Amino acid sequence: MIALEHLTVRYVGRRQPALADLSLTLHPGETTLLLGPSGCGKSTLALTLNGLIPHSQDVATFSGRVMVNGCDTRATPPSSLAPQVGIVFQDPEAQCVMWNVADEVAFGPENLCLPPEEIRRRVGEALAAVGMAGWEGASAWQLSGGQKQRVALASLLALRPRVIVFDEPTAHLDPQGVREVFAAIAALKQGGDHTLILIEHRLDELMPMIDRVVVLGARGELIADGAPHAVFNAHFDDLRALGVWLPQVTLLGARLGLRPLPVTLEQAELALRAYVGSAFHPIGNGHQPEFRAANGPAAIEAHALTYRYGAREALREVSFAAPEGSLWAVIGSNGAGKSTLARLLAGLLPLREGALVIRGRDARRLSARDWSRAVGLVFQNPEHQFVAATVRDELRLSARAAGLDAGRREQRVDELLERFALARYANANPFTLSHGEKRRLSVATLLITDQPILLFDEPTFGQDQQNAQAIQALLASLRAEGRTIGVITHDMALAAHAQHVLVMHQGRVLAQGAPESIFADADVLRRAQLLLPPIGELGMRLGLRPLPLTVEAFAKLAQTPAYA
Amino acid sequence: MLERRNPLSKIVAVTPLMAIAALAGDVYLPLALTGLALFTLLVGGVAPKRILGALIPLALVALGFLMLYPLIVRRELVMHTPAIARIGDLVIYAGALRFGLVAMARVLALVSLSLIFSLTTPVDDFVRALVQQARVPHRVGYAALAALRFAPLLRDELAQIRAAHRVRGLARSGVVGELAQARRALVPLLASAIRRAERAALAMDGRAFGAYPQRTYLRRVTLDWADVGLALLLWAAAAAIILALQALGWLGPLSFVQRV
Amino acid sequence: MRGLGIAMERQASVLKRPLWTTRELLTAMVIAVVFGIAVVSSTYLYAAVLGLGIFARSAATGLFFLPAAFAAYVLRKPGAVLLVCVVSGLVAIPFTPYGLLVLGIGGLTGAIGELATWIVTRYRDFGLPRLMATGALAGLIEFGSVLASSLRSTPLTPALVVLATALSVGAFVVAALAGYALANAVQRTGVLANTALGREQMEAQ
Ligand SMILES: Nc1ncnc2c1ncn2[C@@H]1O[C@H](COP(=O)(O)OP(=O)(O)OP(=O)(O)O)[C@@H](O)[C@H]1O
Ligand SMILES: Nc1ncnc2c1ncn2[C@@H]1O[C@H](COP(=O)(O)OP(=O)(O)OP(=O)(O)O)[C@@H](O)[C@H]1O
Ligand SMILES: [Mg+2]
Ligand SMILES: [Mg+2]
Repeated sequence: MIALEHLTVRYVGRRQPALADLSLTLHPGETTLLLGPSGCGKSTLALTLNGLIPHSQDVATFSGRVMVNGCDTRATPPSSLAPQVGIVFQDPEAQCVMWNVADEVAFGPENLCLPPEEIRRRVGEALAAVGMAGWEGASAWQLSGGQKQRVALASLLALRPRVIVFDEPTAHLDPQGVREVFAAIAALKQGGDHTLILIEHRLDELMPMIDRVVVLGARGELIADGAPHAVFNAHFDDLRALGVWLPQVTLLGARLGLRPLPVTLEQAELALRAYVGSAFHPIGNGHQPEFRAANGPAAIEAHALTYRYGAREALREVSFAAPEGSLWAVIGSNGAGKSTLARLLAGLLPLREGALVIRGRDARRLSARDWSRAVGLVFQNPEHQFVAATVRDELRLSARAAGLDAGRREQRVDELLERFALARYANANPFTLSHGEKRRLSVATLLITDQPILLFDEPTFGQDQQNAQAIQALLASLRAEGRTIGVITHDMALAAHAQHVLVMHQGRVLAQGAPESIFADADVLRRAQLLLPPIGELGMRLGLRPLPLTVEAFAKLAQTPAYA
Repeated sequence: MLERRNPLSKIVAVTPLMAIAALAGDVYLPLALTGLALFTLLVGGVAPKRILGALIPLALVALGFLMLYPLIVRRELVMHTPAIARIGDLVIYAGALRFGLVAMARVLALVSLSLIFSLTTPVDDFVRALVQQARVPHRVGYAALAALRFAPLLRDELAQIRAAHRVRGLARSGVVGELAQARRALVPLLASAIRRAERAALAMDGRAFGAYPQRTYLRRVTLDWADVGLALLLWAAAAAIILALQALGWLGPLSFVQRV
Repeated sequence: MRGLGIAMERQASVLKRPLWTTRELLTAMVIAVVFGIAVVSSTYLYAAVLGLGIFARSAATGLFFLPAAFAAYVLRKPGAVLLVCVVSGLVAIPFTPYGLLVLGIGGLTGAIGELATWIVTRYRDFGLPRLMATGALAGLIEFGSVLASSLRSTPLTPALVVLATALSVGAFVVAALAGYALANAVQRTGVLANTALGREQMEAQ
């Protein structure tokens, strides 16, 4: 059992505490979902549970106490805390520290000085528990993200902790990885021996497992605590105002005015069957509401693009047309060739085989400068683009590189500072901005020359809900200015908002078209190892066609006369 | 074959040979040692392609030595040897050229000998051996393993950062441009690496890293007769080379001070 | 103020901390790794540097001192310089054609740099003048070690010996300066908040 008693934690250099006078008891065998807005102290709470705060992370204030099975964490050495509470972190790259799987899983038991035979036995058991038996000899570089996270879980299981905390374990994974990690968590839950604490934002998939929901407020205080159904129903408006992730089906239920709000997919399915009742028309009533495949002129047209890194083929005969003025999404599992494609389109890689037409002009005939004025590429990590000491200098540098003359330069910089709401931070260091501000700045540095086509490589990767939404809004506003926006993404909810989707797998195009038709094709999803967004899953179960993928689309569908 | 030998035993085996190569005063000994090293590598199962990959840049450097030495050697030392070329005021003496040749041969020998270790030893095995057999503190060794694991990731990230800068039109060519680019890339790279390090440290501490003064090991680094045999064989071969050269009168002086 | 901050941290964890925490160890080592891949194993630099023959060592060792100065300035701990130089060498082994030799250069530079850092800063004062003095001293010791370890420099003309010494001292001073400048640039990004440098700057404000 874990008990937090009036716990207050404040980081060095911060005025506000990250956790404020928090009291909470976690019961054995229970699965708790921890929710709260970004920066409310969820990760901080996780770190206090196995003593990493205060033993490994300096903090300015640590008052109250955390009791783990009757021991105060402050006075308990890591050697006895680690076998009780384990944490799976967000970043698979940073938490796998050894060079191969067996060593990684053995790392903890070795630290505890267990005898080699015992370590070997535990390594085998732990890997079997996460479905990675037989991978002992694999090197860390051979593993996919999902496999790395499962190895990370195994390396904790080898210490046999009864409590396991998951701090956004799927934030850096592709859909296949998400599925694998959730399966591993579900298996743990099935075993029934573990107390699980989950910090996650893909709630729809998790909800059936959750026994209890704990919500923290913006200042790290307790806001709600109870069974999921009770918490979401009693506090829905507060939670929404707070900017907490909520299950998509709950949002849909609220939108449709259902009471009580559904929390799991099953509940939503049940409620909606009752809601639409006998007027319910499955599949093919011929009615086409607002869905349409975007036609018209293409911003980018590719014919049989092939690209090789040395002998390794990354793209094979990729052909597509990205409609002008659309939000265009490229999806596919890790290593499918999405980033390679983006770089090729942005002129960063040499165009060797195939043809590329950008806004009606043969890309081979474009000068490097014209190309970069036509297509901009925003990288996944905004920090990678920063080179200057202040936000303003960052923009100035871009303006100079774009060849604007001195007078025009300052004017353009000011325009962009205004346009992206960064004027307040003109003199701040780019790295000290928030995630959302960094993203805006990285777009601003690129937009100096006002490219009509902008490509984003995984813009919402590892972001929380607020940022993800802010990024979506940014994309929408850029598109509203008439630009063509291409996004490469693992976020199916983002892809669901696109007008045109390109599905890639192992360097080839598997399918392309309107998202409603792509996601309705079970065969494509399976082959490309993709997941339906939760609302799509619900629509599928209800047999709706065209398949609604977002809450808005579903709500519109429900209001059309055919269903009323 | 060489891959499976104990990393420390490989170092023990090649170090005396490297010392001798460094002391050589004539070209024959270092060249013979280079031959021995290449032979060992080939017999030890290293792909010729990898050896060439390491030797070609090296050959260029060695060539640089050969060209530079005759120009910088003190004149009194070589004035008594015949002049072989004149470029304006500059006289190239045979003795000076010989200095260059010897320096070049020494570099070749040193590097090829060290390849016996570096082409056949994964860095992680080396660090493990240091911890288990050379008493390097295990916390330091294992932290190094974790940090070294990031090397390929950080290389990828460096490439990404460069591409990101290129997209912004900040790339310049030429040596100065390259340097400016490297400097620009360092701040984001360091920032990201340091954050990664902090996260990795938490993940390690969360698994009781350094809980006790010692630790146990799933895999033990071993030392067997083949390791000892490798060292003895290399030493015997080197001794044979020295004796043979001595007999032929080609050994030259073995000393710190180079004479002509 | 400083005393108070430290006192609160100490009180939070009642367990004894190791001399080097895991976080510090890893921070020092990734700094070494970054420089190892970005600088030390840059083929351009190696070709340029080693083409210079006898001067190679002076300049190359100066290069190794850059990350070490960075880490020493950021972490302010005994051992940082040695650790960083050795790990830079380890990283560079697979990426350079010089094999084990890089590790040797790294170890030598580390020992020299550590000695100079200890003499000049005592791990307390890391102001710019002291960092430069550390570099100069390290450069002198390093050239001394070249002279002592191989009298091969005797075939060189005296002018070249002077030049090599100046190069060695210069390389180390420049490395110290560059490490200092870079550390301050990284400090401005906020990622060093948990290091000795970060804490010092925070208290200064
Ligand atoms: N090492 C640190 N030093 C200083 N402040 C920190 C540190 N880590 C976190 N904070 C701050 O403490 C607060 C709580 O952070 P925490 O990471 O626990 O939030 P979170 O709920 O996990 O957020 P997210 O949803 O974004 O992961 C935030 O304001 C954060 O900026
Ligand atoms: N610089 C490179 N050198 C060699 N191979 C590469 C390089 N970059 C990518 N690859 C390989 O090309 C293939 C496609 O990679 P790419 O990065 O385009 O995939 P992706 O779809 O963006 O994957 P992810 O979702 O993981 O970002 C992969 O097999 C990858 O290993
Ligand atoms: Mg968090
Ligand atoms: Mg990619």
